[in-house]
Amino acid sequence: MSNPPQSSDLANAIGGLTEFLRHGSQRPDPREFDPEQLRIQRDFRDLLAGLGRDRPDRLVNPVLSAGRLRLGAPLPAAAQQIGGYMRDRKKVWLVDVATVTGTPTDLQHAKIVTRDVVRLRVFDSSGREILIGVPTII
Amino acid sequence: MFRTLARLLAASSIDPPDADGLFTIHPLQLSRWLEEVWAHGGAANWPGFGTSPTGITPEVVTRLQLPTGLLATLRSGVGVPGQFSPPPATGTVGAALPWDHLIYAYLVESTGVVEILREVVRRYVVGETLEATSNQTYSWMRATEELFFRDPPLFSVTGTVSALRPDAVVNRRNAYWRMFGMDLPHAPAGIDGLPWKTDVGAAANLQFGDVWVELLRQVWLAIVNDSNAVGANPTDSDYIAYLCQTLSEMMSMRRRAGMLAREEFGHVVTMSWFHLLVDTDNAVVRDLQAGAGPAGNAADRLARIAQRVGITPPRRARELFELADRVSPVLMFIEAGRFNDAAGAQLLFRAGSSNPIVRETMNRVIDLWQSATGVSLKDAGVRVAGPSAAPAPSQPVRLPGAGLTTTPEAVKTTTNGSAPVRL
Repeated sequence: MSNPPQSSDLANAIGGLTEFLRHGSQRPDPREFDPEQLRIQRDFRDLLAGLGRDRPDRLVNPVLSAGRLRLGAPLPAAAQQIGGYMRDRKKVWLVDVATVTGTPTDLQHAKIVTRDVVRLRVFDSSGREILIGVPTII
Repeated sequence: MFRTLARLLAASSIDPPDADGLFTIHPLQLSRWLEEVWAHGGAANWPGFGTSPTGITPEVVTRLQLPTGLLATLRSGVGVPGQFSPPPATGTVGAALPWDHLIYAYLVESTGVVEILREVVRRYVVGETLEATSNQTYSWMRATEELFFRDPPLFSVTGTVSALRPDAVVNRRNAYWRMFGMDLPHAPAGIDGLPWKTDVGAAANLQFGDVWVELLRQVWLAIVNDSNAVGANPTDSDYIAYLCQTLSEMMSMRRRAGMLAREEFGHVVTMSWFHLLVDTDNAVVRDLQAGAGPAGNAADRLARIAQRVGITPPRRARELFELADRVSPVLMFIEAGRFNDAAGAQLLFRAGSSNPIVRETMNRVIDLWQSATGVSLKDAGVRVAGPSAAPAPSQPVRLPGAGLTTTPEAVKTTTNGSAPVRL
C-alpha cells in the first residue's frame, strides 16, 4: 500500500501546473513551422504582394506635421525605413527608422515634411512594403 | 499585368486601381510597357524562385526579349496617364513585376468575359445600339480593339498570331489543352471542330485535372485532421508532396526550352485587360450601366454587361474570377517545386504559424473549386456509421488517370437579348 501524498508534494504539483499554464512548455512546439518552411511561406506572401493579392497593413492614425510624425501605434520591429510619397508614388522623403528621434509613437526627423505628401509607406530590410497609411496633415 | 499597372498607377496599394487612368493611355505605350515588363523577367527574376527556377527562366526571358538598345529607343512612358513619364516603381521586393500563371488566363476566360466584351466593342465600333460613350470608354474601346482584336505589332513578345496560327481564340485553347488537358466550358463561336487539338500529339497533360483534384482532396483531408491529437490520422505529407511533384513535372515538360512562355505571357496579359474592366466601377462600367458598387464583384458587373448585349455568362463566374487570383500563385509555387517534399507540402494544410497564408489560400481554393466545378472534394472525410458501411480509402491505389472531359459542352444559344450571340 502506497503512502498518502504529502502536502508538500501537492504544493509542488500545483506550483508546476501553474508555471506550465503561465509559460507553457519549455520544449519547442513540434507543430510550429521550421525556418525553411517559414521561408517558403514568406516567399509565397511576397509573391502575393507582387501580384497585388496581399495588401500591406495600415498605419494606425498617422498625423503628419513638419519634422514630426505621430502614430496611433508603434512601428513593428521589422520596419527599416519610412517615407512620404506623392499621388504618383514619387518619393518626397525617406528616412531610416534607426535615425528617427522621439518616442515610438512620436517620430521626429528633420527630413519629415508635409508638402505634397499623400501617402506614408513603411519598408522592411528587403524593401518590401509592410505598412501604408493616409496621413492627416496638420 | 494590366491589373498590376492599374494598381501601380494608383496613389498606393490601399487606393482602388486606377483603371480610368490606365484606359486613357495610348495603346502603343501599353504595348511597349509589356515589352519592358517581359524584359524585367517577371517570375524568372523573382526572389522566391531564385533557388529553383523552372518554367520561364532568366535565360528564356533574355533570349526572347527585345535587344536592350531597341528597348531603350522607344520607352513606354506610362508613369502618369496623359503624360510621358517613367513607369511607376513597384514598391515591393525587387524591380521585376511577376505575371500570373497560365491557369489565371484559363479560369478568367472560362467566365466568358472575352466573348462578352468583344461583343460590346463590336457594337460600339459598328453602330450605336449602345449609348454614347464617355472619353474614357472611347479610349478603352480603341485600345481593346488595337491590342487584342487585330494583329499584334511586328516582333512583339505577345505576337503569337501568324499565318500559321491565325486565330487567337484557338491559340489560347491550344495552350490550355497542352498545359492542363482542359477545354473551356463554352464552345467557340464560328469555329468548327476542335482545331486547337490538331497536331498536339500525345504531349498534352491529360492527367493534370485529375491529379489536381486529388491534391485538393488530400489537402482537405489533411486540413480536417490537422488538429487531431488522438486517434487515426490519414494525412500523408509524402503523398501530397508526390502529387505536387507530379504536377510540377507535367508543367515543366511543357515548358522545355521556353515553350509556351510567350503564349502564357500574352494570354495572361489579354485576360488581365478584360478582368480589369469588370474589377471596379470605372467609367466604362458606368457607361454600360453595369455598376455593382464598392462591395460588388466582377461577376456581377460582367452579368450586367452581358445582359446589355444579349449573352448569358456562366453561373459560376463569381467563383472563377476569385479562383483565378488564388490558384495562380499556388501553381507557380508547385511548378517551382516548393512543395515537392513532405516538409514543404505541410505548408498546404498545417497551421504552423500565426498567419498560415498558404493553408488559408488552399482552403479557399478547395471551397471555390468545389462550387465552380461541382466536383465534391470534401466527401472523403465523411464516414457512414453502421456494420455494412465499408470504410472509404483515404488514397487511391494509383495516381488518377485519364477521364477528363475532353470536349466542350455543346454551343449554347442565348435567349435574353436581341442579338443571337453565342457563348
